[in-house]
Amino acid sequence: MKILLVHDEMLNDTLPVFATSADAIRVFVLDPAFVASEGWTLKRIQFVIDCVAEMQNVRVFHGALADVCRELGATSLVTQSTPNHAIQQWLESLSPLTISWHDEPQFVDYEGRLSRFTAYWKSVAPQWFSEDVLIAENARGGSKLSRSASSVRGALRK
Amino acid sequence: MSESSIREITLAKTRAERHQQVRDLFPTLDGTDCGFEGGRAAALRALARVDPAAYNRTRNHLNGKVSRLSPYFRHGVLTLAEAAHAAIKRSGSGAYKFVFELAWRDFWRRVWARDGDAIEADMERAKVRIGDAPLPKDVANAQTELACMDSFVRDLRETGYVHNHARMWFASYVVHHRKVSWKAAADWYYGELLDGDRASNHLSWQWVASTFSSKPYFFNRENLERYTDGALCAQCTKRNACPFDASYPALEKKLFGAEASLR
Repeated sequence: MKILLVHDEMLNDTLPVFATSADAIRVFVLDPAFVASEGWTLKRIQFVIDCVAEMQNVRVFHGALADVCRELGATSLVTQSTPNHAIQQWLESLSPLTISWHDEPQFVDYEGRLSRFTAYWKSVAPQWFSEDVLIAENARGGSKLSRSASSVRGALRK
Repeated sequence: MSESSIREITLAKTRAERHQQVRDLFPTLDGTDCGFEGGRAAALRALARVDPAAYNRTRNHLNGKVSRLSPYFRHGVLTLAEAAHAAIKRSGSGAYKFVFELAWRDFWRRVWARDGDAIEADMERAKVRIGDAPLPKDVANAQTELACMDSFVRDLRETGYVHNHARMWFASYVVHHRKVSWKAAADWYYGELLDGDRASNHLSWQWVASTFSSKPYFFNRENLERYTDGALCAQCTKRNACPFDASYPALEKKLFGAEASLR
């Protein structure tokens, strides 16, 4: 029995992992221990559940993830990769079940350094905009990150 | 744990009923119901409402045309790439700022993928003196008597969503004025946010604190009044004793003392 575990960063069944795992049973688990460890509020769980409710053919369980997998007779599990260690550690509880991590969609191709956003943006912006646009924005100061308080960048929102 | 502790749930068809199901499943959690509509259809409607040109002009204002897409990004309901494609298709080069801001989220996530849990400690040496105080109750309970900060906390606790500019002002107040540990504040903030993820949240707190940036972020009253149309200051009981009512050099000296000149 192959399970496609739907975790809280993949609440959209148009993501590639769903197409590549069409033979798997889609499962979303509200694991009280995981929810508590993440400190989710009531409203966040409600938002998540609204997203899950709209997805096709997802079975929803309340209980420990390991118990759900055992109950379903899982022999392998696939899910979308994430840097979120909380999710990674959650799945470690399933050992020795075979787990496959499917790449998450990428915003840009980038293999460079990650010391400052400005260097990253300078490298990846041409993947979205033509050189003419970037020259014009640079002339306007559009890619500069002034630290004056009147200059706001979207760090905390997005 | 016995298998009897597992329960398969048939989600109710209406949103109100589903929210009650969640309340029943997690009876110890209190608080308000979620005001954001979840789901892919709602996310696509929200994306269709994004006006990149208006976003570019007004995003820094509390009543500006911001996207409010962050809860959808956080939960994978929308991808950053499809939002960028949609904005560029709609506005061409006028989508530059919108895509630029999306890129911040990608940048933070890449740092998280590279460094893992290390993002929950100082990424770099702080460039100014920062504190390690626990989060004060008056801050968490919206009882500072500063109308702006209390309003931002009420937004957070009641809706799980706060405008980006308000997040920055609030983080700066907590870290630099109150000398609270950025980590303690970030952990609390993360739990309350509907769109909270550790990369965007914790690294942004570090950006404000100067442990993942070259300088601290701070603001003054003129800046806050400009982007709130003065509405919060007008109702503030401390408007004549505002801690932000100073020039930037004066604030820098007050907040960071002699170290300010060393940077």
